[in-house]
Amino acid sequence: MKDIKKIEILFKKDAFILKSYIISYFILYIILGGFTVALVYLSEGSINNFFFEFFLFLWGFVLAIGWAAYMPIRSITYEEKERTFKILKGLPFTNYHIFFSKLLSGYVWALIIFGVPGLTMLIHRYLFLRTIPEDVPTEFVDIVTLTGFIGLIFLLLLISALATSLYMNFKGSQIFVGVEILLIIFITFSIITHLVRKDSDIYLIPFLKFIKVAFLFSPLLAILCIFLGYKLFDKHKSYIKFQ
Amino acid sequence: MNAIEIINLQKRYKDFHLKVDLILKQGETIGLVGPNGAGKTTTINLLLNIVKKDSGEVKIFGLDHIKYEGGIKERIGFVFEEQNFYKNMRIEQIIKFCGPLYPRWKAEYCASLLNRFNLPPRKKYGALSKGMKIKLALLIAFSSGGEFLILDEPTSGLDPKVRNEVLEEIERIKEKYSPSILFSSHLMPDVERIADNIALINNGKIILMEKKTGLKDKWKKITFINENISDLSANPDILRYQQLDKTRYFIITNTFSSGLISSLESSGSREIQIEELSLEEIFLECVQ
Repeated sequence: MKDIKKIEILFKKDAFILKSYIISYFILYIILGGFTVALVYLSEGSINNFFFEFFLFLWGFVLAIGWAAYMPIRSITYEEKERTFKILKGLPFTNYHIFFSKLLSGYVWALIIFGVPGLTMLIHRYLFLRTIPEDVPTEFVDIVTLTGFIGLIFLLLLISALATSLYMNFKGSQIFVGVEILLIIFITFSIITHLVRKDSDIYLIPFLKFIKVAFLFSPLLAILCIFLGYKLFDKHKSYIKFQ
Repeated sequence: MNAIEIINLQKRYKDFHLKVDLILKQGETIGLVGPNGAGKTTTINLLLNIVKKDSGEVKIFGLDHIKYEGGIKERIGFVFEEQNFYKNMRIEQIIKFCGPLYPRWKAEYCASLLNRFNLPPRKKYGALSKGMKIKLALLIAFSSGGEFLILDEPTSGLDPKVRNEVLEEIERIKEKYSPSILFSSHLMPDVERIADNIALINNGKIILMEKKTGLKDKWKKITFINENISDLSANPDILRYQQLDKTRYFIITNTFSSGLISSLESSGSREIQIEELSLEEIFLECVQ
């Protein structure tokens, strides 16, 4: 059987196991999306809509990164690693199939989580909000728009690749805590820069430049991470304890 | 052609060193017998590349087990002692997940086995009893169409009725499809019933490998009476002997022949009784 078919089978299995999570998140989207849209249309003007978008963007971004890191870890921790790794390795799968299906599932779920609010945001912007308030920095708008969205997809790929590969060799909980700390720093920094932007651009501009550079190099970094991740994964040092 | 060929396979852990040579011919069944912790499961894990070997050569169907891992596993059905299928999947879903992985999957046989094993297709794996879990694993392994079956302790922990059902099905598949089987167990009577060849493993080493019939023919316990016997230890055919009372002795031999009986008779022994040794007794003799 072709390798790609095996990855597909593993991926479908993940989709099956995680279906309740996906459904719950979609329900959450419908509720929160409905709430956001209601707020937008109930508000008097479009001047405050930036904050709704910002909230939506931040919420989507946080969830996406969280999921990108968490999903591969979760599926490996609770399913493959503790219960079923041995059975999977007994089946005609190699590390290659398992690694790439994990990577794919982590990435696709993250994309679903990010994609829905991201697309909602874009549709909202282009259909309903044709004017952007003047006090919003152009760079920030760039991130929210399609360029930023594509960049973030690569960033997600990078994070899920890192999470998958690193977890198989080191302690996953440490990585997860690390990702959470990074997220908290990012959110805090975003809020601070957002609050001070009227007085000074000094914090915001270097940060946005950094994001742009990161986006530019993220495909390269993602490929490197996948390569190194697979090499580490293939050694499967951590599996020894299962014997 | 050999189904498996293991040459000087080695794996070293902190306090355990496995060093195994093993050959299984196509269509034959080998019983890998040994106490818990002897290295049976480790050997199987190494064979399936679940654990990486330190050194040695492993060929399955004449192919390197790592280089052709995916292709080889499409031709292998396996049952582990602990099954660990996805607990939230129903039996029918597990079959649907595993089936497409095997190009020679026997869908009809699978359906008939499902019936014979009385497995409810809609029941979730997590809700199955231990016996049912084993039956499901056997169903997957047997339906895989694999030419080589690896059965690691498939009967341990089962009640006698289910155990018998499982053994009967293994016998049936042997008769119908003649696959090569590696049957690992510490339950000697089960191995005795299923295997054509026996490999005894202890402390990571194969201490004996022989055809079951040959083993039964060669290993005997002989009891006799002799009033003036000389030194029994001088006889190279005698593995061990014990004096039961003043004139009564028993000996254990692993090279039984009519010549041994003649030599006992010529030394004045009488009331000679020859008993077959069970696999368990042979194993204990080897370990001692």
